[in-house]
Amino acid sequence: MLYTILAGLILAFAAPLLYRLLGRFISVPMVVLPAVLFAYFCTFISPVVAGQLVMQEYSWIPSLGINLQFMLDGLGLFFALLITSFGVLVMAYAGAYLKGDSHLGRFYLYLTLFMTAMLGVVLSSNILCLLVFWELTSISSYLLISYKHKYEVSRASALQALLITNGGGLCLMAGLILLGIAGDSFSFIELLQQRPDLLNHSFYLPIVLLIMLGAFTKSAQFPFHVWLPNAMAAPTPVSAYLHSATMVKAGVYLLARFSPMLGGTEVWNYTIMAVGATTAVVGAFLALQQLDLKAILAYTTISALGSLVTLIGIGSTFALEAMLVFLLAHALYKGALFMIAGTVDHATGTRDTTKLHLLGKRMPLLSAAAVLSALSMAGMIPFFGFLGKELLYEGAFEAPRFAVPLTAAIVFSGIAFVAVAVRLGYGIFFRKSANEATHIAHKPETFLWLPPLLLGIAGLVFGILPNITVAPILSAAAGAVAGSEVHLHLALWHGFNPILMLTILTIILGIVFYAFTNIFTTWPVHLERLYKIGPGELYYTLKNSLSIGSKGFIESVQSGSLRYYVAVIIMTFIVLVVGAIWQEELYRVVTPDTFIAALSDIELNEYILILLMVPATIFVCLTNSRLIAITTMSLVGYAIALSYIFFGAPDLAATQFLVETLTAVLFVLVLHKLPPFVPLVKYKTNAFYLSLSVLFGATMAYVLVMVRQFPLDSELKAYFGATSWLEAKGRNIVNVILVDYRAFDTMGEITVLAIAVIGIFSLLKLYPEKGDQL
Amino acid sequence: MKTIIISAALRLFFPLFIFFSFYILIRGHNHPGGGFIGGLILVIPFIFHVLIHGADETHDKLFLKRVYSLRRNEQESDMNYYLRNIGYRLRGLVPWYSRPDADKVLVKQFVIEPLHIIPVGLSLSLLAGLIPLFSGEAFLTGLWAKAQLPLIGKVGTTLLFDIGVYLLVAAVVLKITLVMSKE
Repeated sequence: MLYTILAGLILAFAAPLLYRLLGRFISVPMVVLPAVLFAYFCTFISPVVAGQLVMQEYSWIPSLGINLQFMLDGLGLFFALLITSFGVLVMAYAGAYLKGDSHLGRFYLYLTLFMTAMLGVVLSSNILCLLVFWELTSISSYLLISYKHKYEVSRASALQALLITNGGGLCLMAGLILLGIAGDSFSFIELLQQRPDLLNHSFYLPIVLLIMLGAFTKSAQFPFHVWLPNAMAAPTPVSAYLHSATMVKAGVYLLARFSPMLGGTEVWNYTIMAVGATTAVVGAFLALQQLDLKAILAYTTISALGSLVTLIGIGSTFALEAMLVFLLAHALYKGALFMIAGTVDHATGTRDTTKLHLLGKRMPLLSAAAVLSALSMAGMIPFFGFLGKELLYEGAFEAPRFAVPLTAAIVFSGIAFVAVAVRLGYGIFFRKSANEATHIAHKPETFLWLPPLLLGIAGLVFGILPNITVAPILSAAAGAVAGSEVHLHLALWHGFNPILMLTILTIILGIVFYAFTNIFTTWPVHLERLYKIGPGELYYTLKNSLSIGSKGFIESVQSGSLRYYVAVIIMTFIVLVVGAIWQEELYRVVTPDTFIAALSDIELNEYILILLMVPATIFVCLTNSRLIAITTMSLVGYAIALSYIFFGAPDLAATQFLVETLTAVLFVLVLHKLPPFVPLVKYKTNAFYLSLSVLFGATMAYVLVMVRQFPLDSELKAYFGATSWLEAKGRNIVNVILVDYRAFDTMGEITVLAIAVIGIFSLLKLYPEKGDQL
Repeated sequence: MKTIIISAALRLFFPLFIFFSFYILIRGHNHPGGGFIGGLILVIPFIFHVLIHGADETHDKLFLKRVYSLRRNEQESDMNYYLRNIGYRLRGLVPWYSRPDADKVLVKQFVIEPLHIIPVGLSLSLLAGLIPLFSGEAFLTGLWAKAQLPLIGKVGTTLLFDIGVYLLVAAVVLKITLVMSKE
């Protein structure tokens, strides 16, 4: 499974290059990859359905318990199949939708990167590994939303999505780390076995709340739902893929994944139920008021996500089965409807439902796809949406507690779905109206109507023949969530029961709501004052106050004076060291005798160093010439290098010599550009800094004398000495530490160096002319 | 600061510095040295060059690679022309030999940007960390080849890591020097 991820990453980063090579045929390799992955995952269906758990493990940072552990159980396989099959359709659709776009290669990079990250999320069984992929989906979503980066709306929406989902991601990280500490493992399987301990652990509440925050932000639950409608600024293939079928379901996946480990408690069930039901109602309520095709779909997606989350909150085996069936049904029809909205937009140039009329006859295949998807969305027999909705109602109806409010919330959302489905499947395509039929600029090409049509047909086929198509994998998935074996039997006809009555009621009320569409769409004007205090406005208030606050904070802390910074660092250091000495009563070790003993240890060659350094230091402070100051400072540096040689550290000494020389040379290079030296600082300030330096020196000397009183024994030194030649095959321990034992540190250091030079470069090169390009 | 003595000496010492820095890099695993020190030594001749000739000339002479060919004589056979060109190119490798400028044509021009060497070095080090992942070891585990190379000795991923450090350090210092010495 590592190779599926690697293949995705490699192809993603090769996409811009491929676009240059293949031109518009770039969609071919991009479609082939998810197709191959889909086939690959299909080979796992029979073992997984038989109850087998496929595991793979690669060590990554074993000392921290972070390993690339992959696991394929029912839930993971279900999602992997969903992601790859939608990947095929969306990649093909995107090629036609963005035909001729000069950045298509980049678009495929982001989209494939997202697909890979999403696969990583559903396959990981190490929770930190999961987190890495989780964040990667947020980032690729950010890049995709801001794809049309020339528009300010796109950039602002992308930033909003990033801030909200990554804010949740940070919470999730904290939650997962706490979980790892509580369970003493980062492996999902091991944590799962510790469920009783975890439930009684004192970290349980923070863990659950933090993980929920991560899931709720990702799955656009109230009040974090605001980013999803704005994310519709992305090109439509992105909306179809990320913001309806897969990424927003990552939150649902996360809750489902953790529910056998952490679920079943009151906090878990009631919080999730409450948030989910609220979201379902709010999303449905807002969806009715929209005019824009994609906005309508976005709000119904929020509502559907709310229903899914509610079902996880109910937590019974039946509710979890219902959740998975509804999830699949929703992905099928919503993905298709998004693509249809995109095609309509592409063909007519507008997404405003008041301007779209009578498209049906001129785009017959597209309208067929729209009708199929809309019927599935409305929950008509014999579509898969009907099964999804039936189970959804039943799950809520049979909830152990709060069945009535939950059912009411979900039925309300169902009514809104019917109203919206009629608007999308009938309103813009067939409804006779006084207005003229909308002008179609160009007819949609094959790949603009084929993917949604395929999804629509899949909805019909799955609905008629559920048990031989999707039921086995759904049962395996439900089994993984419920933690026990599940045999799902789906049937269209359950007889005349209350659920069927509710469905009929929903359809009737939905058609009534549809008739009053014109009234609903005027509501945003009336409710303006309510929306002013809603989460959308709250986000902007928070964001603005954050930037104002941080600006004030930076202005008060960052004075821009190097001397001030050094002084602050030194003062903090002195306070900490003196405090530690005081608290540990270490001053008892140091007596006047120890000072005398320390002084008597100094040898002759060391006196020479002192004779070099001390006068040079004093001279640096007194001179008015920069050139002299620099050369004298180099003298001090060379003396330090010499002392390294005396104490047997040739590597360090060589580096010190070189760096000292280079510093002097670099100084000389810029010296003639500086204005003549004028002592501007007052006498008093100088005195303050002088006394601070003396105090610092005295503290260091005192600490050194004190350290001498303790025996210096280091296990590491012996370990390095013993293993350097035998295991790391090097005699120079310093170098072996740098490139082998502590190579990760070195890696960090050279990265910092690289970043520093970019900083220096941009400061020196770009400052004079603002807006200069790198 | 254009003095003929340093300028002539630099011509001789330039390859020496480069070889010496590489020697320091290679011996680092067993004796004092390594990528960091080697990288610093590598930039010394370049810095001298900047000090003597100025940043612009350094850029033109050392980082701008122009490929020239000789002008083709009338009625010259292909063979003769290619042979003359090969001789001409070979003479270009001799540092103190200056070629006549009159009868040559610019064929191609490459620019080596120190800023671009930084990511190269970083990726080499990263690669050294990624290679062990394929054999199931942890990130940055040192792996060693069985065979030994002449002069270099044992070859392992740590050497690759050190080469990355070497290139990066040299490029960083070089870039800072070039930026600072420009007007």
